[in-house]
Amino acid sequence: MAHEETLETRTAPSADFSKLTYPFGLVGVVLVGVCLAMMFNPATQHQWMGSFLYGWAFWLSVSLGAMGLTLLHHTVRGQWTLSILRFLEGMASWQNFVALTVLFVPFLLNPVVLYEWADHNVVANDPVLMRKEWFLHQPAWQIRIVFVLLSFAVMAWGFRNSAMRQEKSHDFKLESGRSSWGAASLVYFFLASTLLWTDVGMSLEPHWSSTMYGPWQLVAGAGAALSLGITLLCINAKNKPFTDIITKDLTRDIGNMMFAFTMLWGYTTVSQFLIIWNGNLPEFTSYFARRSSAVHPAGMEANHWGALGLLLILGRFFIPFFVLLAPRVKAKPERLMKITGFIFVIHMFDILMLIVPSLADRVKQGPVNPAANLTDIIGLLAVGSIWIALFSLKTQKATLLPGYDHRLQEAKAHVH
Amino acid sequence: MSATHTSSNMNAYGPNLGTGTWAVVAEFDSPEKLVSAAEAARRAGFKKMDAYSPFPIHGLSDAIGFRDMKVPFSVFAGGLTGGAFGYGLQFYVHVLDYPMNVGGKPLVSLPSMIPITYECTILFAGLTAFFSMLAYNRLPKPYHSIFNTPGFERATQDRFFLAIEKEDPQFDPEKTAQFLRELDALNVSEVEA
Repeated sequence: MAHEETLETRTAPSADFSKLTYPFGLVGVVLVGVCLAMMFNPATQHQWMGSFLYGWAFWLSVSLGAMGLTLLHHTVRGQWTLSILRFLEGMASWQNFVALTVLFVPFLLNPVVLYEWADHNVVANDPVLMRKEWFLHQPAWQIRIVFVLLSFAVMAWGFRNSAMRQEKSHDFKLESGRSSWGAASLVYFFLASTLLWTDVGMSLEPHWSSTMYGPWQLVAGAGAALSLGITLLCINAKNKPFTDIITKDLTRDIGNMMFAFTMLWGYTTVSQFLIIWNGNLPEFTSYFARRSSAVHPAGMEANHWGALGLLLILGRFFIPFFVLLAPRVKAKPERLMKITGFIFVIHMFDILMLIVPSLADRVKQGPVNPAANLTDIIGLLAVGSIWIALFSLKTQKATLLPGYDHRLQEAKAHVH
Repeated sequence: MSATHTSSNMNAYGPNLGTGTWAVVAEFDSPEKLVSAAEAARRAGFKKMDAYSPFPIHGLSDAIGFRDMKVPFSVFAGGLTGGAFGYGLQFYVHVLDYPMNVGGKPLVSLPSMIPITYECTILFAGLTAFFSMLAYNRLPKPYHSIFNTPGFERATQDRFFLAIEKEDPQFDPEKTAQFLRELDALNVSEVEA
């Protein structure tokens, strides 16, 4: 039995992401070009900027989630995320953060289209926005977003560079250095990402605020990044080098981690809702009123954002929760990847629910609107293609499993 | 009661204990030998066996064919019971027994019931995990036959034991002992209950 395993292992093909780079890069450049053209045309810009922001926010959330998990991995020198570390580094690479910064430039140049606080005429007639002007202030907003994104790029570069140097020198000091820097970086990362989500997402509804917004989105993004990492790992379970490490203990551990992040998503989402529901104050309930089928502002009677909310409650919490509870799902990669793939797809609806109902025109159209749905998909694909091209480029630059840490290979060797 | 039983096997725990054979126990000097012996015994068709070692050994529970879903399912049932209890209690108190208008909200307000329902689910699941584990293991257990094995005190130091119990349908004192001897055991002893 053990002998057959090694033969199979020796002849396994290698996991290869290099063929994704050029097709996705090309498609991404074309689609981003289309989006830019539509975004600078006053007739179409509101809808296209909204859709492009949706796509941008989706891939940002995956990158931020991956960054958080990478920092956590380095801080605790974890074994659970070791198998997907290179995927997480690829998702949260400095190239991806620089690309996200560049792709945000249309909004930096013309925030007035989507952000009502950027319009001086609106603010002049709105006492609430006047009080918030010290924070929601164009140059400060632009500087904050660029600074935070580029600081993440620097962090991503620093940790990856240290890991690459350790690949060559096998110097353990680098690993313990990453552990210390990781802890400090996590603190900065949480504060800075909260600021970023506040600026990018929460300020779309400037009258509303929630202190849960940043952590909530980080948890959702970490769940999405984890689900994508696990899916990629499981798809390549029979390929080198992953075939040397996949055991049912490994898929169980990482499946349990996915389970924990499913719980955490439920926890943060319900907490935010519960506090707002309990307080029952108009300036806070507006977020849920806009996304509700039962309680809605005038003119939104048939928009049924609530149906999308129900999809999220079931698809992002109850279905993954009960599926991941079963040990048999976590025992085999081909089973685990079905539910993690599902979670990743549902995350697209999660971000849709977050961003799109905040936009003045889109909220009235409801979730089903063929023209708007099409531009949303284009926005998602435009940013996503660039993101995937950079991800595949990054994963080619190093071995797909860290060469300095053999705990997973040893765990597998021990079983047989 | 077997014919080989003698009165010298009576012990301090009473007349009904220490009577007859409990198991054949083999002693090994390495974890690898214990795991491969357990695998061999499982392949030979033995089902009622247990292993004793000074530290957890990776893969040993698979090797002795240990697979028990009783605790997880009990925890799940305990969680469901707890959730139903938490929700039911609030429903009884807020809706049936003492209806009170709080903030103009409906009497059956699901969001306000989530925290307590959730906490009761966790509490009942946790308590069920603890007590069902004790119950299924029949703990606390002041007497266990394995301690009648010669030299068993080294199970907490440097020796590894595999017991094939009499309850196993294939059990035969001589043949089972012979089988274990062939697996490179240091000692094989027939242990009294």
